[in-house]
Amino acid sequence: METINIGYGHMALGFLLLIIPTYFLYRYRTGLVKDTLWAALRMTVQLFFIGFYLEYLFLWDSVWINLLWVLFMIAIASSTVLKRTKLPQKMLFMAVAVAFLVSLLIIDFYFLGLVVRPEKIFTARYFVPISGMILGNMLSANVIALNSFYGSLNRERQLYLYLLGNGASPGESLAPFMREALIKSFNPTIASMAVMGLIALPGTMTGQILGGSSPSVAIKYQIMLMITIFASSLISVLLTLWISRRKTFDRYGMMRF
Amino acid sequence: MIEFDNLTFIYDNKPLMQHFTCCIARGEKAVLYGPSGHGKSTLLASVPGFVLPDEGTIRIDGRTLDATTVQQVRRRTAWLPQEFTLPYDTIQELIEAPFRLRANQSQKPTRATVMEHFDRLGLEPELYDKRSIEISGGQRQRIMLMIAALLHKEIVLLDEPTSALDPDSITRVIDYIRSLHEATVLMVSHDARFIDSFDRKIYIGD
Repeated sequence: METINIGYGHMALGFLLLIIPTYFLYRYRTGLVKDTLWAALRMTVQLFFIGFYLEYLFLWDSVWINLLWVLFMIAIASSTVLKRTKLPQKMLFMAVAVAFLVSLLIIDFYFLGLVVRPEKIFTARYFVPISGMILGNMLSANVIALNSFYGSLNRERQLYLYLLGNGASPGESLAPFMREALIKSFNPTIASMAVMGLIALPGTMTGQILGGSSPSVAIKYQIMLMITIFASSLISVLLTLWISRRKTFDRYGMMRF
Repeated sequence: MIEFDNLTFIYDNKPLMQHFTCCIARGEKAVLYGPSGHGKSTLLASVPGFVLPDEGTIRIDGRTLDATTVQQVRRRTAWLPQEFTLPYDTIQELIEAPFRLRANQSQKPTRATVMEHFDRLGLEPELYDKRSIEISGGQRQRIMLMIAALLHKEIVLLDEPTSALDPDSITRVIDYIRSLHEATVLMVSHDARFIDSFDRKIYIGD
């Protein structure tokens, strides 16, 4: 079954839907009208650009270009995480990037190599979109985790020093903050996993069904992707926190910022 | 033995303390006293390496405190900072928390031991089962002191351990600290009676 292509005229018709939210954002003087229009414009241009680029990526299907593209996505994701958490870019960029790269490679090799098993693991059609989806989820999980970890360390500095000053190892002193970061970061994912299919039809599945896949295949992909996303996000959060700790604490265990 | 050798602390580009030298013998109970803002708490916090001197050396039993030795020193200290609240819901959790650390697990007190120490500090047994928000600042301060004592560390560091206490409780706390025979105790205080109760007084000021 072919997917129905949306003509540009019909897309323009779809954009008219924006009039309703924009009107109410204007009426209630939220100050969000400009941001909304700008975000919609950016999203459109970026997606057209990426669509165009992916066409070529799939056509060339070169391992090196695919890897380079994923490295580029990792760089953007790492920088975005640090911008959103307002943590020092220079100090932590490599820590986050390495954590993302390692967790992404582990999960890509596992998921693509053992579960999906395409002919080539780094084939663009699988490697690029799956890495992109995993990275997007890692990004949100890491923003929440880093915000919680460094935020609570600043707020509860006394607890950290109390544990350290009463014989705790650096790892033990940071354990309550790691615990809080993991809870805050993964509670929403666990909640959404638990109701998936009941109150929400996830994007990948919907996309695959619209693309002509049978619902039974789409469901299998969705289930596997949820597991993959959960595992990769958790591994990346742990790695980011572990690696960043080496940069953010001096040899006496005191925070550098 | 704790040795402060020619210490200088600089805060906001101004010297907070300059060329301070002092030695606390093993088992001694010493009080740092003097006007606020002259570095008493800073000096106390320098023993577990929370604040580093800009000049000078700290030695614990002859070993220089640095990044390689700080963790060993922290395993030998009990640290009670100035009035503060820890995020534990109940008093039982508050008491048990430091004994869950690997370095302290062997020291975990029984409930009977805790009750005996409660009695010595004038704390009612019912407090053990209360929530943290239900107790007063003075009660919390005495409980924290008891935890520091029950950890059985060689070095006990107490910052203002009587700031929230009434005169009767201060007397109990003085006796309690004196009874920690083995421990070297370094304290900060502004309370004249508390300061006078210990033989070793170290003035920190101009």
